[in-house]
Amino acid sequence: MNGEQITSDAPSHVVTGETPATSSTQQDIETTRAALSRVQRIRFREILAIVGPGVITGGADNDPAGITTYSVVGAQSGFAQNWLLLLSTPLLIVVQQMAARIGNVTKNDLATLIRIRYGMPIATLAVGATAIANIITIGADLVMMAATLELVTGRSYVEFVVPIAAFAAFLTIFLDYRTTQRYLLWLAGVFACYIVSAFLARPNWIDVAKSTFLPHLTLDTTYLLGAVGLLGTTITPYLFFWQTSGEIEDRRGVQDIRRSGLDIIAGMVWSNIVALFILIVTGAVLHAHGQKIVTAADAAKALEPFVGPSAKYLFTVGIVGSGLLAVPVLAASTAYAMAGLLGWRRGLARRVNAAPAFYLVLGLALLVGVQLAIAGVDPIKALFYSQVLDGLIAAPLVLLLLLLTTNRAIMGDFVIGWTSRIIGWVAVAVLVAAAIAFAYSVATQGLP
Amino acid sequence: MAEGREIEPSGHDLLAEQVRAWWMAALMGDTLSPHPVHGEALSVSFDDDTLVLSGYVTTEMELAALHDELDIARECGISNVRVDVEIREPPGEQGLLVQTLIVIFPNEVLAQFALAYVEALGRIAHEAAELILPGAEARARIAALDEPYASLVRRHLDRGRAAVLVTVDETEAFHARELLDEETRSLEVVVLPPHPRRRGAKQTISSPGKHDAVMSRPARAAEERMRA
Repeated sequence: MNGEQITSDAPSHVVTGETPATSSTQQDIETTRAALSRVQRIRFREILAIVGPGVITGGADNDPAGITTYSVVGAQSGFAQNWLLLLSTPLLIVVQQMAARIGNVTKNDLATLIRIRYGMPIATLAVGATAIANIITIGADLVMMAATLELVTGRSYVEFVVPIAAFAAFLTIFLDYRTTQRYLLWLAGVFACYIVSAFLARPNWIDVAKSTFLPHLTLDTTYLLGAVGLLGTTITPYLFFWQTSGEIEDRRGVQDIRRSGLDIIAGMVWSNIVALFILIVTGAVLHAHGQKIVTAADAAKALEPFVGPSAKYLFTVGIVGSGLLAVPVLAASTAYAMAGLLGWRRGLARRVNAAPAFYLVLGLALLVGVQLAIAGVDPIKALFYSQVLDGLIAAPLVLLLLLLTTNRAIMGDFVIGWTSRIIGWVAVAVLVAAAIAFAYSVATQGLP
Repeated sequence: MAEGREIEPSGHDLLAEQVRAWWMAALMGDTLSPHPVHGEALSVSFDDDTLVLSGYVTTEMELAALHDELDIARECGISNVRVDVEIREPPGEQGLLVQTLIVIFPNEVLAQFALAYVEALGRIAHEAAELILPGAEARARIAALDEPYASLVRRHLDRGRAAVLVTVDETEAFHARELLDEETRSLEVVVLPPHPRRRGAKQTISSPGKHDAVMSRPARAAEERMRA
């Protein structure tokens, strides 16, 4: 991914409008390539300071919807879908690196580029589908956060929905959310307890290893629904928009491509390690005893091997923390996408009066999410199906990302390399195959 | 940061006014707005009754100018002032890549104003700036742009709008984009992909003799290093 910048066959004059006679010479390209390689080098002491949008995105990836989806899949299928997480890790890393690179190189956000390159109808479809999935996920995340608070307080979850949404809006609109989220990330760190819990649950590690490293496919609807949900919660469309906008707001340019890459690897690997251990512990604790996840209390049971009866408290802290990290990200990425589509001023670093339409969409996304949350939907089902929807719309969006990052008119000399292209196409193929298999299965067998 | 830029006398006056306005706003509690010259590299805060100026500048001269600016605060009765400003290079190495921004305006007047803003105030370390207006001349200029950007500009010009193309060092592109987006009446700012700087080139896309290139100090230093 990193050694591919500035290709020697770069037609630099085409993009800048220079005539070939005055364009960058081969020597210019070589000199710039050498200088870029030097400034992009990451020093050891920089590694810890490299935390940026990638690690935050990884944290937001394990939102209440993600945690619930992993728990439901683990309880339903045991370890059978562990291999999908192993497969999705490099795919997720490359897809997020593509989204980041768009921000680093073009300084334009994703929706703007889709609109400019592929026209308003395609951009509207992409943004519209993402916005719908985001709003449903906001509603589902709010329900799950409120349901965990119901679990520990005994009060109805409905009482918590509005205060949580108001707090999320306050964090996003009135505070510097990009700073705040670094603290919230620590709350979501509670999910590291799943790793300890998995060891204490004493699963059969040989079975775990087999199901992680040997792909196992079953063509029944429950399995395929789980697979699409698992892929949808891992390779999530809103994260693409967030990653690109995050790089722009953090002002990470071409010289930061390697730093962004490392940041993303750290965030995504951590996110998928936690996801894998959730599958393992729910497989060992719930699936092995034939238990399904119907309520938040069932989902919290996976932490019991570690903390016993306190599991529900720890689970609540984790869900509320990750929810406060994810809900503003979901609302903001919806606003970024809409603003990019319609050319509005945007950015969380701006004040409300400097980007009123951006903040209006952000507020509306939260409001509709609240409306969905208090409409009495089943939180576990809402969360799970929102991730299935994400899985279904991820394929065309990854395809658009791939087409943009391989387009010289858009990326200039900084198009992605062949390794990334191949992995990107594999991601599209896997997502399309999962969606087709799921659609076929639903058509022939109906929804489970 | 303003060193090395060609600023017209009227630009100096306007800049001085902006600096004064910024200080007045900061003293009244608006400490979040970027400084007119140093942008977000500089921030002001209060530690009890002490005014704290922190951040970085890139030359001794800029630091001295900053000390002069503190007279504005003193005139307003702020006697305790602490300056935690260091002199260092801006983040990122300049002089490697250049990037062009397309800024769309609703009409020619606003585009002309923005061009004057870019050229006179010196807040954007640009290397070239060019105005494109609807008309026959624009066609040749647009044709030199690659798709899909040519279509974008053409579409806007067909609606009677105007475009300004500003070329900056790649490390300045975020800052330039933000200023052009926020401080002009632009409809949209789109950035073209970066490309390697031509060694020995003074300007990238401006019309010769119309708008002379103004190269930022680090960019010029990088040029000289390359030549050496």
